[in-house]
Amino acid sequence: MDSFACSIKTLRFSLALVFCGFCVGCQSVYHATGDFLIKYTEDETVPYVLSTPDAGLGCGLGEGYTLFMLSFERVTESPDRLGILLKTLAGVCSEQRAWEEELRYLRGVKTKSSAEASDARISQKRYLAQAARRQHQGYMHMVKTFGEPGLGCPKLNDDNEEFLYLIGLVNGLQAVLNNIGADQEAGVPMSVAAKVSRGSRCLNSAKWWGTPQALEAAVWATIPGINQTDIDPIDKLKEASEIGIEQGVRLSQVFEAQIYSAKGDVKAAKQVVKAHAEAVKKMPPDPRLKLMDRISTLQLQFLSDKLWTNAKGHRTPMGRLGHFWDDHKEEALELDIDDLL
Amino acid sequence: MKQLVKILDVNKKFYNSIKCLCLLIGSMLYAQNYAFAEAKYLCIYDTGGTNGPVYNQMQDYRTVALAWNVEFNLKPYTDERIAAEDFKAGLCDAIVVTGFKVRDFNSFTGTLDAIGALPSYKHVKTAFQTLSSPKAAKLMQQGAYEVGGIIPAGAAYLFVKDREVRTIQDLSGKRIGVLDIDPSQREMALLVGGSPVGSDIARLYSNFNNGALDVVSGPAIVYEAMEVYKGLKPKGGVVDFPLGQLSLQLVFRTKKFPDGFGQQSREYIFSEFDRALSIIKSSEEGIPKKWWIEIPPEDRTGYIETLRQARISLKKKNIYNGKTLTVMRKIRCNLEPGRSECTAVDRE
Repeated sequence: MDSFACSIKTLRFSLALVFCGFCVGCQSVYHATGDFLIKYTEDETVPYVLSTPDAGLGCGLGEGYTLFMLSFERVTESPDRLGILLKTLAGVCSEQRAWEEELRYLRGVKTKSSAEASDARISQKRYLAQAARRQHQGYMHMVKTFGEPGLGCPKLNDDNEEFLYLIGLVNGLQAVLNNIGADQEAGVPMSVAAKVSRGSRCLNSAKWWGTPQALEAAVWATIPGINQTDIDPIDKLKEASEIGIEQGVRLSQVFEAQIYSAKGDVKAAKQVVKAHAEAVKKMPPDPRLKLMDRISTLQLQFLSDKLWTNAKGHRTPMGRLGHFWDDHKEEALELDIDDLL
Repeated sequence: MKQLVKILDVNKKFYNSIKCLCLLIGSMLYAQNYAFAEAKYLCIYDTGGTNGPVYNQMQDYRTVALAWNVEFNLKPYTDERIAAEDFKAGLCDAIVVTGFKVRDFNSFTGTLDAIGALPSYKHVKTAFQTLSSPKAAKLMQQGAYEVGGIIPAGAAYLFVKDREVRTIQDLSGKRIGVLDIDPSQREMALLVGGSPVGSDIARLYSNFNNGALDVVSGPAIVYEAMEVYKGLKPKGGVVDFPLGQLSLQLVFRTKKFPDGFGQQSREYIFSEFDRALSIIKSSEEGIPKKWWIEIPPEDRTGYIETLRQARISLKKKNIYNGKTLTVMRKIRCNLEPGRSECTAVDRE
């Protein structure tokens, strides 16, 4: 009987030992797996995704992969660097859904349907709030990685870090603007915009497609009193767009067009859309950053869609990006058929 | 003679038929016109343009107005003076501007932001609800213009560089930033012995942040948006006493809109009061407790009386509308009958 009791105790002890060993083993396996996957994603997945022009797939990756990758913070170091980019891509999905709802709202107004337009506005705000939350989280991953922007410049070791810092800043500004559009439902602090403006000065604008100076100028043009210089933000935006066109990543044009649109200068906004469409035809995007360029095109296409819907009740017709309903049409030469027969 | 009567009779029948036809066509055209006249231009002042919160709110308003058979085209303005000029020139059918600017069109509602007149959001809600009722409609119209709704924009607080500034007397000799658009701010600064420094909204808070001003006033939203916390460091603060209640108001040209539009508009805009207030309150809650400067009850009495005297003085200078001041005094006395001003000889 004693030996039986002893055996039971031994068995219990052994099981406990195996269980502990199993858990410790799991932890180390998880840790190693996490480190491996994070490294693989940073080194291979991210450059691959950025080099593909399919924004839909990029957005899908952001929504499908974010939680899985960020869950590794439970077993290893928090993958904040990945968080910046994945939240950006997830934010793109929410923004695109919000765009669709905004177009529905405009069609509702156009067809004088109050119920349809009101419903679309509510839905648009829900998606904008979602976009703002995701973009703000992306911004906060950047803050965790590099520190709060605007309080001096962080030490950025290589191009990858500079790129992530820039994307984090873009997230910050977009989060503020989308939060305003969502009746401030996402609770993004307004001061983020001014911080983004100052943080953008830490990057070489000529190297990053003019985007840092476009960001700074966009904040100047949006929030009064932030601009402490005599420089006209519009001049700065134009210059940024030129740099972006030359380098084949035309993100600055999005900010330029958005600011014209915000100030009610529809003519200037249309010109940017036209210039973008021409630039895309003339020069292919930087092969390493096709996704960034494609997202810029989609943003400008949405702006064009809004203008078309306001005027005609439908979005930009196929193949007509850069053209507007009221463009001056060249008179076709009409000859007398009898003279030709 | 019989023939003449017959001709006249035929003519009469013909005339009646034409008259009926004209009436029918007229009523059809009228119905069509009434159903949806041409789209109206609503010009909106928002420093952020279409990216700003006011423009955003007006997009919702636009959808509701469709149900009243009024279609709006929205046009953003980042300068309210230009918006007001375009409105006067007929380029806009309606505008949304600050209460300060509304004084050009309706002195009654343009006085709602009078200093110290509505000490809490309960007072504000009571005032705005009262003014959105059909009984107050006659006060909403002045000349060719009518106020179509009043949106709360939050209480204005004093932001000071030195938190030792606790009483009105402490403001003496200080450089006080005032908005050029609101003459009452300059008058008030002079009244307390300060040096008013005129500015537009773009320079006001940056001048405070860089030390060119000792005191500015504004709603809590500027704390984050204009980074006023930078100007408060190291020993400044926000005086926990609402100086006035800011508002945005929709004004329209009465003749351009169908009958009843104004009342529908005012009631809808008031129905959104709580939503607007929750956004305002979240801005106020966003200011950390360490910055708030409590005013002791004994000093509050002095503040209240100084502001009351200032209002009376500004009324004499025709900056404030006396009728509005009376309405707001009655609201204060209704909510707090024990206030000394309720029995004062010189009550508003």
